[in-house]
Amino acid sequence: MTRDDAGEVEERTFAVDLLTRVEGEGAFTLKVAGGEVVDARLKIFEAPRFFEAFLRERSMHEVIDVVARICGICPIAYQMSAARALERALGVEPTAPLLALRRLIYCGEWIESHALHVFMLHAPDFLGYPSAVEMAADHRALVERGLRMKKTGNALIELLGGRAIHPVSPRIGGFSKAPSRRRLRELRDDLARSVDEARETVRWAATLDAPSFDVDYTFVSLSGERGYPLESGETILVSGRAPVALDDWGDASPEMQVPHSTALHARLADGTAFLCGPMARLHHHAERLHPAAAEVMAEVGLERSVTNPYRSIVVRAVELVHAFAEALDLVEAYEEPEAPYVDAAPRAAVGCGATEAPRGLLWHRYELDAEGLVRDARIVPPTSQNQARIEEDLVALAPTLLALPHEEATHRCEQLIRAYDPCISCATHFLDLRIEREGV
Amino acid sequence: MTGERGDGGAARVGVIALGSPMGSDDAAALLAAERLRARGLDVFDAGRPGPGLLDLLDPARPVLVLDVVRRGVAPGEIVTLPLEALASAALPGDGVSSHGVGLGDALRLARALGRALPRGVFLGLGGASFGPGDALSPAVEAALDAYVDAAEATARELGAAE
Repeated sequence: MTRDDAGEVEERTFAVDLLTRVEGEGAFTLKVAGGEVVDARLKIFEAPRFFEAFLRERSMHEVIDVVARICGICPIAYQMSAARALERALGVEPTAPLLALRRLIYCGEWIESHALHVFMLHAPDFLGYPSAVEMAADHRALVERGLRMKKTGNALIELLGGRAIHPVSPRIGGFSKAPSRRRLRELRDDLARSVDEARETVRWAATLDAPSFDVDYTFVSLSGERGYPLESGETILVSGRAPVALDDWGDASPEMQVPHSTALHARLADGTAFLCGPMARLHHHAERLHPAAAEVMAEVGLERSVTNPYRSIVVRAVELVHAFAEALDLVEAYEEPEAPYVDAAPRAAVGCGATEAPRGLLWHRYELDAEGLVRDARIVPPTSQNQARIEEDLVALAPTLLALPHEEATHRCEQLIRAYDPCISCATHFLDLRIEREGV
Repeated sequence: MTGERGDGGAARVGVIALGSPMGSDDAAALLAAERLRARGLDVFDAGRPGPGLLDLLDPARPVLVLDVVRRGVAPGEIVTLPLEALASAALPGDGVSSHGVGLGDALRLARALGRALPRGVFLGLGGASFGPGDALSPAVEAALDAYVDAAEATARELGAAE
């Protein structure tokens, strides 16, 4: 409140928070004719497109620092996908210890992101609270567990990345600096405790009642040459179809501009909408899970092909167990590399690379000139790949919304979108549901 | 955050700057942070930390939080609020993505968990342009010097009261 010259009190509303980062709030429009849904459009804002232009004419060595700023939650994913694409263009292969460090820092990001989603965002939907803030009053131990897990993930990222938020150490060929064995081993106790807490989280998540809603998914995931897919992969797996070479993914999954969103929509070449992310990874790679994760998955009776998006909370919890357990193994086995990175000489080339961001496949393509300047960049984030799938699911949900009060209908839509944990670049706080009724 | 240098006690204050360097005016607090660091303040560029902000708040140390304000403030206008007020206000925050957890959410979450908040101040700068880009709007560009001075003065006041 401020007081003007006349002494009158003027009330003002300040919208701070991440609303400073909102370009256009999320909007979901249903078009209804004759009592039937005829169109559904989810409008979101997508930042990576700006970064593609921003990267042009910049040095290849700047790319990894720049893309770290695309997202505050998953900077490692952007950095790792960029690194792999540039390394494939330059003919560089990091040494085995450096690749292990990459898996380790990526585990940190999965932990941080999944813990945030499971405990802070998705749990309130199941427990009947509008948000984690209200839930915390009644379920303090649950929220504190989530924050504890997230903090352990942050500690991994900070130690390997130099900063917990927008890390600076990852670079082409490895890291600017590798951690000492002693520093890394200091994390063992927290990781070991977290494996147990993550197991408990799977057991808890498996008891939650999910609304009935099953989808015939086409699952898309990176191949897993080095285990459960994380920091690299040479092919992209599509359920029911032949694998696609990494370099061919841009053609196999063309992106389309749609008038209602700044985000491009990706579909398979025949128009099929597909799903990437935790459920797709589990479908393709359940046998590659860490034994600790596989055991608890079997214990709760979770199938490898989960087709109800609301049950993604259980899958994320299983991936939390995997990430903590693999991180602990990597820390135990860690030997300091002889050099923190492998040198890369510039050359004119094109390279594609992909990794598995917490919310799904993240594909990059860079064209470099002989001096190592970026001539062209393409960044395809998981959300643009999942958006067509989300819209189709919303259409399937829509008939049940029409008879509901507006607020409840909006909440139902938000719940479904939330189940996919879309990366909307810190853009969407409120879903603005509009139902347009033709002929009314 | 650590640091005991500086004059007037300002260095006893932890300064947390939020924003994105690629978000047009959203970069203003980060740019201010760079200048404050050059003046000897202990500044942390937190970017968009989400609930990670909780880990940056030390109840024993006063904190100054810098961010750009989107609504309710004219572009280039500087506003000051006690941190407590942000923790109490019904700010928007519940989202559909784990990417949408903000300052108000983090502070309210801390309170709901019974965690003590540090004594602190939020210093906001009204923004005009929030689309992708690395250029400030003229109004924010023109106000940046005053914003930096206000931040230093606020940090000094916070530090002096310790």
